[in-house]
Amino acid sequence: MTFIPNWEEFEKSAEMLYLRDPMNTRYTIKYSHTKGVFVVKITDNKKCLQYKTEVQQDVRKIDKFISNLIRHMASNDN
Amino acid sequence: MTMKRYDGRTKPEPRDGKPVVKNPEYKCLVRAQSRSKKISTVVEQRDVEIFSTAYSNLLKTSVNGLKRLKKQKKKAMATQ
Repeated sequence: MTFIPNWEEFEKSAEMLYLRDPMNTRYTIKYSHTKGVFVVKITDNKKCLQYKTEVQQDVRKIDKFISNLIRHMASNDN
Repeated sequence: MTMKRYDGRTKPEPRDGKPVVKNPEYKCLVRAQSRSKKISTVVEQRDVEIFSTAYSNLLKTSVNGLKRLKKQKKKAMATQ
C-alpha cells in the first residue's frame, strides 16, 4: 500500500474508516529507532491507510490521535 | 503496537451472524510485539485515562530518534 503524504489527510480518512466499521478496524504503529522512522497504519481488512514520518513533531499529533481513538474504542458510542 | 476495539467475546462468532455478546461494553485490545516477544492487554473503560497518559509519556520519552524540523526552520529564518 502507498503512504499518504500528509498527516491531516491521513487523520481525516482514518477517522472515517474507523467510524464506518469500528469493530473490524485496527490501528498499528511501528517505530524503528535505528532507521528513524515512525509508521502508522489503519485497516479494516478492505481498505488500508498508511502514514510514515521522520519528524519528531508529528509524533505529538499522532499521540493525540491515538488517545482520541483509544477513548472512542473503549466507549459505548458508535 | 496494534490496537482495536474489543467487545469481550471469547468464542468465535456463530455462522448465523447472531451477536455473541449482548449489550457489549466496548473495551480496547492492545497488542505489542518486538521481534518474537508479544504482550497484550485489554483496556477497560475506566482505565482509559490512565493508559493513555502512560502511553503518551512512553511515546514522548522513548521515541527520540527522529529529526526535528522546527529548529531547522528557525535557523533558516535567522539567516535570512
